[in-house]
Amino acid sequence: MPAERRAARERLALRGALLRLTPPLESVAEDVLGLVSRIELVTRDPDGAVTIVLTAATGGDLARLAEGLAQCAWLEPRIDDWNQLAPHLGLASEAGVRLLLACPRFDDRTRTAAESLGSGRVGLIELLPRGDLDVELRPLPSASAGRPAPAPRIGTSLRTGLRD
Amino acid sequence: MARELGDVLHYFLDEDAPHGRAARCLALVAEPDELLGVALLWNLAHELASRGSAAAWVTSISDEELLPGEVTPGITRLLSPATDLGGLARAVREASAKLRASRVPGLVLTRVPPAWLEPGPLARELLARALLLSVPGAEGRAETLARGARIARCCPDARIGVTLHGVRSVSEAAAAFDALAGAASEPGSFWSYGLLLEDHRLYEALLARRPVARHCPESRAAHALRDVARLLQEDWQGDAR
Repeated sequence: MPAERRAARERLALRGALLRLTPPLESVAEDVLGLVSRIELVTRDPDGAVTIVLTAATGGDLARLAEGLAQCAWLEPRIDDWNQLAPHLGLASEAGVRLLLACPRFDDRTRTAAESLGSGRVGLIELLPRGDLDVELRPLPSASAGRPAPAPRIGTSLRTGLRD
Repeated sequence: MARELGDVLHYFLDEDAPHGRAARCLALVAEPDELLGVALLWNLAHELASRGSAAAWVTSISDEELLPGEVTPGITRLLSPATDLGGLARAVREASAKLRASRVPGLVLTRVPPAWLEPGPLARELLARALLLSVPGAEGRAETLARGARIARCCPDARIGVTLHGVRSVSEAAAAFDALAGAASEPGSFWSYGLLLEDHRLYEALLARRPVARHCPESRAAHALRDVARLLQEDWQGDAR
């Protein structure tokens, strides 16, 4: 099978698997020319929050993580423009752009880096083949699950530069 | 071959546009007949412009009687006929686009009537930074808590700011904010954005349809408004870093 056709089939399988996640991620753009390189999938969840999905081969995940973060930073200021061009997408521009990195097996450094960034910015998901035409996505348990929420940045007192 | 949005975006987008964060929206959740709320928004827009930021003020037709008679450089005013969150979101996006075109960091200010609040992507888009005006006392506190809870239901990640008004001193405002924060279901539910001191000059300026800072620049009301604008601007610039 030609490489281009194979890549298209793999992406199709990935789109289907993303729709089976909770919450489902619906693909809104594919193979987008981002910052220097291409973004495999741009997706939205039912609330309109945007997630970039990149895949990596085993061993390539750490580099893809860095690339994905750069692509998130590139895409975030463009969400309002996308909303103007395609208002029906209802993309939530204020929610920021999250990265979902799919890979058969993750390097410990990638896991640690993703943990430190927080699940709100980066998600890691195992990409497992399921026959020739399908893939299975298995989210990695977050090490931060169960930890108390971070303290609010703002205290509970009045902020003002005025004095009586 | 089917084309996706991403394949054609480059035909429409200005690739030379500054790649900073998109303009932010501050949504004051207030009834149309809460005149002080409307006055607060356009005074804040004036103060932000005075501080070197761009400000876009999305107003509704019901605000017409209160609109200032003078034009302030740096403020974009967009009159919106919106009757629901969808219409308002479109107006805010248009205002955001105008701000980005100005290439100066900016903030979109608008008012959202409480009756329009409903969970969904539009609420998450508009209410990520919400502001409430609150008065001291049990009744005012209860109303602020109820509106805050409703905003949080519609937009769980909302940063809900509170500006105290109807207070005669900073210590009275501090006590009122402490009581509000103490009654909130979670500590830190509300972000404090200063206070508007009770000052007859505030109302004089409103009747004259002039920004308070221009009508009576040395008044307590003008100082308080500058302080609220400073807090907003510092937070929003801090977020962008």
